[in-house]
Amino acid sequence: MPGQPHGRIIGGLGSPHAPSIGAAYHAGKHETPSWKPLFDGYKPMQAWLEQKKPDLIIVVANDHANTFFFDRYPTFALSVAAEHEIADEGWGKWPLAPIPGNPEFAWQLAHSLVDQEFDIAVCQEMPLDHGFLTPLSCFFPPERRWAVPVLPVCVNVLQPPIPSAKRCFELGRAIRRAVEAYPRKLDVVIAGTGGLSHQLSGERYGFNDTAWDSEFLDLIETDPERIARMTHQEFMTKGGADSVEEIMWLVMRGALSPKVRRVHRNYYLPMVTGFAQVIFEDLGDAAVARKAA
Amino acid sequence: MASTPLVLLPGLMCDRAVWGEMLPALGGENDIDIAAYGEIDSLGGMAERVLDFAPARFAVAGHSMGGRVALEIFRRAPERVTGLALLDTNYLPRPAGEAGAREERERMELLALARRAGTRLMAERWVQGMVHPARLGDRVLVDAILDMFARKSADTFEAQIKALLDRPDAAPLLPRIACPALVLCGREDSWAPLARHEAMAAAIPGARLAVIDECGHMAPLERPEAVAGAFRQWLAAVDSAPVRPAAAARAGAL
Repeated sequence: MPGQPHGRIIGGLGSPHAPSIGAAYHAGKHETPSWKPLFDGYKPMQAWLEQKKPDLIIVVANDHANTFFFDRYPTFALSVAAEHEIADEGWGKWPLAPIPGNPEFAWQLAHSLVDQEFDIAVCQEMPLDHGFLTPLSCFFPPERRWAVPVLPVCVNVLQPPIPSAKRCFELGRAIRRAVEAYPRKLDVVIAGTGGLSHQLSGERYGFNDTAWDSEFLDLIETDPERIARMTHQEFMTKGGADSVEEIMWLVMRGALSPKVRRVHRNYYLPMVTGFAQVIFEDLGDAAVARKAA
Repeated sequence: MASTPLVLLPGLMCDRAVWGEMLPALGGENDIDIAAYGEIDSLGGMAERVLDFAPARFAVAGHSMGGRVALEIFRRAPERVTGLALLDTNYLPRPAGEAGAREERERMELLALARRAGTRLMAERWVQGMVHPARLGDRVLVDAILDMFARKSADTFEAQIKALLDRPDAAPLLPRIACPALVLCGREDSWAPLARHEAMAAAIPGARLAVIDECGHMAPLERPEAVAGAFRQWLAAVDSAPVRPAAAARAGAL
């Protein structure tokens, strides 16, 4: 109902979530020659978030067997917790305070997703590992850390069967419908996380394809449905086995208007993984309506 | 003497939970049935479903859409009704012209929202005008309402919207109500306003009007103790009302 306050997606972020980034960040290596090109890519994101002042960030990432184990691994999961503990990944917890959530909206999202036939696992607690901690650490300067509540969404990209790219894109669209139906002001930013081309095991260890990474960044912006039609095998062939996690960027993109305004794009390949950062601004329902018409 | 059986009729997308808060304060002397309508898409059909399952003679209380169902029960079987309570409800048909068309549009927007984002998120919007504004931050109350909606499908919502849009005119029934009648409404009910209840109470011979202060449309959930107090008075009147032999005989023949 137009005119009434309601939730809206104001933009999407893309970010890697490699643990090495978070470790370097917390070790104060922002300005070293090898890390500076990456960390400089977060500065426009910090400025954009500071300017847009979202009420909530939905972060789409995968757990790395710190919260979920392979005896019971959900395809999709979200957290309704009021606060998220820092997971101990085996080298001690990162020295960070717990991360606030927004249980009230998270429950609404859970209900709405199930009503939309996304039978997502609902978690009352969800310790967060580097999948979330790396991007969240970098999105805000230390003095603004955890200033915005976070709603974590986990996607299984580790243990087959993993969901299709199309299913991830559709999850994003369902999240958008739920946010827009929320009858109070709620400005939401959604972040999709994961590295671009990389393969960390097997014969093709160390595989990268910067041309494909560049094409991926073009397509996720202008023609995400084409990426949503790709099979896992195509992702692996083009970008290495571990690049399948790019499907988590599709959740972010599915939640945005069909056309978006790109205000930031950065790419850096320091070692074995293509790291990319983007900011897409949402163009609102008018863009959706034009598409539908 | 055994107290009269009581049948409670929830409103749109509501269920037994709408009555759950006030039942403990009612004293527990009445056999109570709480109706459910399945996917029935007419008020008359809902009334017939209740009549199929209800005791031979019973007092009936309806909230909101349930109040309209109660009137349809009275239309079909006045001899079975020992008492009638109408809460936060209305008796008039859908207005003709722009007002009626606007109501249909607004209901269809909510249905589209329920289909798009689910019944619980739709209810988040619906509830904004339905409880006293001061209670919108009361998550226990609001969640109780949202949970009722979440238990229903958008198909149920569509059926009940159809029932409400096609609602018959119950005004001619009001002067014929001879049993003890309670007309109750939240003072700040912005959906079924107090003035409408005053008119309803004036049209029903001997009806008692109860106005619940600091209360919106969801009176049994918002002010369960005050509503239970009005019910106790009403049920006492029902129990002490003379049983008219003709009505009792007709009921016995069922």
